[in-house]
Amino acid sequence: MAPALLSARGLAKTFGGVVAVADVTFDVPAGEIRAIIGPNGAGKTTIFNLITGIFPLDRGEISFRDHGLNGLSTWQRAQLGIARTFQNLQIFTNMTVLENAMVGRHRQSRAGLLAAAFRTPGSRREEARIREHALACLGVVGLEARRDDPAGSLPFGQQRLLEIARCLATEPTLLLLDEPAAGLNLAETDALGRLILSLRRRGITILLVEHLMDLVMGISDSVLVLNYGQVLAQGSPEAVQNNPAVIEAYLGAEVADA
Amino acid sequence: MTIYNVTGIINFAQGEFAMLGAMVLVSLGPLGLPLPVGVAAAVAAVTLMGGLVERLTIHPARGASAVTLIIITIGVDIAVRGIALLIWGTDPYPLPPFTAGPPLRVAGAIITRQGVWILGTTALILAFLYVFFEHTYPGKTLRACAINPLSARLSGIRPDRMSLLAFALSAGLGAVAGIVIAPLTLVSYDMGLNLGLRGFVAAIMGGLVNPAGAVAGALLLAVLENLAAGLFRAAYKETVAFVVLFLILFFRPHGIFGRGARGGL
Repeated sequence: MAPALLSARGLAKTFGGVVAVADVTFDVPAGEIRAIIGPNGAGKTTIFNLITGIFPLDRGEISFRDHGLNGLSTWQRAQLGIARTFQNLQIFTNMTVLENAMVGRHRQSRAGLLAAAFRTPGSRREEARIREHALACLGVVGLEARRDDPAGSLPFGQQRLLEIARCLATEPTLLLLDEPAAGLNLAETDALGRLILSLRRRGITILLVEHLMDLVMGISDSVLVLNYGQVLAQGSPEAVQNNPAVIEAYLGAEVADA
Repeated sequence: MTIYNVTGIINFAQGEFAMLGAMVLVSLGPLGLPLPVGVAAAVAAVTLMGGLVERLTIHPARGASAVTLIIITIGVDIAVRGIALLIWGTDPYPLPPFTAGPPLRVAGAIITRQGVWILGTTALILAFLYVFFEHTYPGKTLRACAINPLSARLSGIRPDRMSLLAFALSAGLGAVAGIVIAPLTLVSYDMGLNLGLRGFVAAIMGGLVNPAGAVAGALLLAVLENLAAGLFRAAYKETVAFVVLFLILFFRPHGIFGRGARGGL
């Protein structure tokens, strides 16, 4: 078995009296597409927030590429190669599409403020490199034609792609996608599935929180099922789909709702 | 305003940076430096002070709410003015105009030579800010920090470093502003108060985020003030800034030129 890229041990997080994540342990090997599913309030997004350092852990440990992440701030984790998107989009709305992607290159930028302020040749060359790479990232998601449009003017589905492109610009090792298919139509969802698979081929490990079971079961290598902040099951999509506890707690409930 | 753009807080100590710039230049006077060297030294010194202020006052309180940080800047404003009073006393200092000579006549209006310097410097600073924020990479990351700090952090940007840069940058620009207007106004320890107030009102008129809007706001405010002084009594001049502030906040909280889509603090 491949060594784990991301390793979470006994994660716990309580908000006020509400236990969001009770005791969650899992490993994500490099190169895998791992889905996290579970009913609303199961703690999926909280786990993303714990991995990216938006909230501190109450208990437990997360390590990434053999670095302990506990105590590192969000930007430090980003610099280690963790990128994420949001369920409700977080783009820089009054910057252009290309500028959004360029911001993702911060990790790779070197030139000082003064050099940039005086437009030295070195800083111009670096900015050209940043621009070129950001354009390439827009190409991956198919947004290069909208490069000069204000990001806020894009339709919802494309804003989502832009968020992914900004993540790609950071050259992440691990990409966390929080409900990337939410609000997308069928064709967009299909394209998203193909995009995620192509990202994996580029060597990016993907952790995916998603409600849309067709997408999850179609592209994931393995699935982690959460319920009430605890791991209910994990394994291949087939194994999880046939797990009676999962059917009872989650798939069954959803079918009943529908 | 640069600080507001980056950190989302209003820096009420901004006027003091203008005072410090002018005061440092006055204090360098006895050294007999050529004017450009003296100005560069004063601006550099105040830029460092701006960074120091951020490290000493804003940085320890990082993570506090915007209102807390704004109140801290008010405290900084009072403290800096107090320290300036101790160092330089209450007497105003004169600063000679950059170029000597009689006022110029332009299309029937009379404008002092220093006035030309002020207009020119304003245009230069505006151009600098435009190029910096729109066309340089650090400028873009500063803007990104302001629009969405969370996403900026997730892209690996250090928000505290950006806040430091913003304070240093706007302290330096404030110093430039203080230096160019000083020959017209005299340099005194409390000149920052009035400048800061007018600057704040002008920035509000411009919608807080837009440097060009702020300049337009400042021009409009100056015209209104002088109209009030001319039509009524000179004493009313001081009132105008406050009245305009109230009117804008009541009726156009996003600024005269604002589009209104932006949230408040």
